[in-house]
Amino acid sequence: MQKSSRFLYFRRTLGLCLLFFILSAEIARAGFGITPPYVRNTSLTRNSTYEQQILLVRGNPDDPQKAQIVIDAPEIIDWIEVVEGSSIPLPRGSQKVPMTVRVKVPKDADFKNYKGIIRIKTVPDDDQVAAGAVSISLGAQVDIDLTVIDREIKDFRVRKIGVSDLNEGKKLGWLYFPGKIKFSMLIENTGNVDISPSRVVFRIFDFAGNVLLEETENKGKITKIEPYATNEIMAEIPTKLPAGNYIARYAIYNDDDIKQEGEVSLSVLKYGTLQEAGFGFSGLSVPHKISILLPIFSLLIVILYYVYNRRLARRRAS
Amino acid sequence: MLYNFLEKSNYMQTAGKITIAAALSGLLIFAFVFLFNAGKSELLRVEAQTASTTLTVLNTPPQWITLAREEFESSTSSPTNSGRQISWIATASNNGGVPYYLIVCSTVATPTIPVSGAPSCNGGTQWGVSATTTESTQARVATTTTEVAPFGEVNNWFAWVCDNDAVNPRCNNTYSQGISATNSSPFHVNYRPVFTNLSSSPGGNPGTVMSFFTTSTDPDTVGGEDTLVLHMCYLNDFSTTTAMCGLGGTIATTTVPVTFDAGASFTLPAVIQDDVYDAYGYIVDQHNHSASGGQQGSNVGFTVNNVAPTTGTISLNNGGNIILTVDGGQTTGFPLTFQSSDANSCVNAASTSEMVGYDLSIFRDSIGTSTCSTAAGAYNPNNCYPSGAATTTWNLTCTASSTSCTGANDPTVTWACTFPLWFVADPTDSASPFSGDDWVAAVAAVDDNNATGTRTIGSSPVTLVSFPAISLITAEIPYGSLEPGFNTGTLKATTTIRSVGNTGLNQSVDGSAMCPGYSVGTPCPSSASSTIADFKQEFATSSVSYNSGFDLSSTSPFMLALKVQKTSSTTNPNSGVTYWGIEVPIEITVAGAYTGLNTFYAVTSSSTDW
Repeated sequence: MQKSSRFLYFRRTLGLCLLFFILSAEIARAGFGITPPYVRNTSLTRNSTYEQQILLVRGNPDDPQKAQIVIDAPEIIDWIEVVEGSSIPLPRGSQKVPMTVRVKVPKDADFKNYKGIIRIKTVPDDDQVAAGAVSISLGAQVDIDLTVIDREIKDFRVRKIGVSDLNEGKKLGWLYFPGKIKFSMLIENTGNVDISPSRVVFRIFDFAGNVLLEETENKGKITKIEPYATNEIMAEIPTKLPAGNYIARYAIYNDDDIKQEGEVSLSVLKYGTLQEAGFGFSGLSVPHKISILLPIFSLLIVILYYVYNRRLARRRAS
Repeated sequence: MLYNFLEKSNYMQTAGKITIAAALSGLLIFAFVFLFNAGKSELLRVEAQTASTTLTVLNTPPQWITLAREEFESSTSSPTNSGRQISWIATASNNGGVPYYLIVCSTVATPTIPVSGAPSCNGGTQWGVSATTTESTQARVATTTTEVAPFGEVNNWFAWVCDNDAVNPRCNNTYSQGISATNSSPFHVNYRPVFTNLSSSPGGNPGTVMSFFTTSTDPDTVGGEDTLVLHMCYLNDFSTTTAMCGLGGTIATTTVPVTFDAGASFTLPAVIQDDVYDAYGYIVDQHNHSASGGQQGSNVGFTVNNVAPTTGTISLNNGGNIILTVDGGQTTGFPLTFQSSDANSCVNAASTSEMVGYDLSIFRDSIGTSTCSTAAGAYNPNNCYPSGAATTTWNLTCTASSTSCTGANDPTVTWACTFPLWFVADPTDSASPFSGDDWVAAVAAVDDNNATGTRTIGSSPVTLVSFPAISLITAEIPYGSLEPGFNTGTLKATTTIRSVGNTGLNQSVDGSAMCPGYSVGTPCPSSASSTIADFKQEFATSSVSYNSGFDLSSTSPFMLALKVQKTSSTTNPNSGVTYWGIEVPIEITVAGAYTGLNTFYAVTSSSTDW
């Protein structure tokens, strides 16, 4: 009975302790989220590297926290690395913190789809939780969805275009150096090989857009972009149009496919208005190029012929 | 001789006798002549005349050295414009160095010439006579033509040379009518065109053809009617000398001359301010003879219409994916840039901005511009943000670049905007139910005449990225009080998560064992008396009985399909409830506050559950 009485006392005491943390429950409004919630790539190749940045977002950054990262992808655990490590500080005041997931596909990876999960848990920076309570920490789950394939994918997405004002072309002697349209493109390589637009075509109309005045396309190579990267690149397009305002309908090609087409305003200024170089030799028309190269080559041939004859004469003399 | 002495006896008696009176008279005359030398010259002349009668030399008329001709051609093809001079020149010699006259008449009759003075035409019209001209030098005759008699459109002329001999002036009987086809009689007078009406076509848009019309004729008939040309000048500065507009410049000129009602057209510049422009009209004929009076030099003006601006390059979020980073709130500062162009220039005639505003909306593209108009009523924080919404609802701010408009010839201005998006904005990446969509901006510029262009959708849509975000109503699990050996009976403690991102949510759960000294870095010891194992906590989506829920695990998170739908309200996030229960093992002997930590992971739910 005494024993029973003591046990009863103990249970009451424990119950009172549990009741205490019920009353201390507090309203929590801070949230946690991530964006994007995935690491996804369906065109990985062997030996390729792919990086995905994920933002860790806190609703209330008043308290310092840290994010504990757990990768749950048994099949590809060796491929995946969180660049910032498995514990990422979430400092006070930092509402969003980037986390970079790097995927390195081994050279012997099977060609198939791989899935996994990355769990992100936020905990107090000092590891302390509210005493006497079952606290709740927030986290988020990143889905991993990777596919390794054995074929090249050449594709890109045009994210932004722009065209700046330009000087009109200039005539120098008989040579006409056209104006240079600088057409900038923000390109995302969505394939798995280096790529750039195969060509950029401009159809330039009067400002009312009624009369086609010139059709031209880029000269020279366009810088290639690495797989999965997004970069701004430039296409240089010659134009012989005089100063004025025009409407240009552009088309950006990936081989025979038009990846994007649209309309831009084009402002051609009087020569010398802008401190920018126009096209050089590469902008010349074929006849003009020939008119320069032909005399040079002819002269070279004459010189070589002369040198050859002199050597021949010396040999004969000796 | 016989005399009648009876009748004339007195005379007969004095005849042959010198009277005293006669002698005195003679003496007086002699004295007068002697003293005053009177009549000296007369007497000498008498002596010369007396000599010439023996040497009679007649004056001879001047002789042509160069026949008279028009100084400047006046012909059918090159007539003399009325009001201008017609002039003739010739050179003649004359014996004795006596000067001569060149006289031009309309008839063939030889002029008459007085002993002193210039000759005059003998009938018809005297077109002119020169001043006395030293012989062997060029004489010139000129007269200003008019459009009234005696001037006609065609006028014959005959030129003579006459000398200036004081005694016997003479004209050469040989007249001249020129020496070549281009300087011979007749001379032609070109009459001015008649210009009675000037008008312009109604207002035109930039880049279109503007025409000017006249009522104009030319009275000339010889050689066919003259053709007419209309010159339209920006200023009232037409030069009748050059028959061209002055420094103000030419608006338009007749390209194919016509014999009446000349008109002119020109294409308005592609970029020109909407305004009423001066336009002064001038008619000239094919001989550059301008009209006088009537509408000559009147300002008819022309009107350039206002046209609606267009929208060029649109860049939403600089082409990058839209990433929301504020759970339960608005992410601010997304950039939107666009160019608006106006054929009326970027600056108006008052030197202020031509393009003063915009109508735009930013939306998930399958919503379309019809549903997502620019009106405030179209606002939907999930998928449509129209500029018509109040700034308290959607704080879009746009500014026209102060440097992008370079002057009246520049049609384009660049706008830079920033805008916020709510956390509920629909994601369009591949895991979302809107994966076929993207977000776009549709923009129409508005000009100073309140003309609004057609909304243009940007050619580079962007992806809005999924943003699963979770928040809690309470940060702890309220189990209540339990004695060892008891459980909660049912899962009656609840936790509520709210979806404060833009996805549907499920909840993955893991949790630690509980003990009095738990902290993240100090897990609970394996103690039967003081550690409540993780699996003693159960959870479910409803208040089932204890042992019917899912056991909590510290190592294997369990995904609880709460299926919290994507939140669509900015003020009332969707939520999901988890029911919790716990059992305190009978072995627990350590009383006190037990501490633990469970983790709720936000998991993006299947798109079918949004």
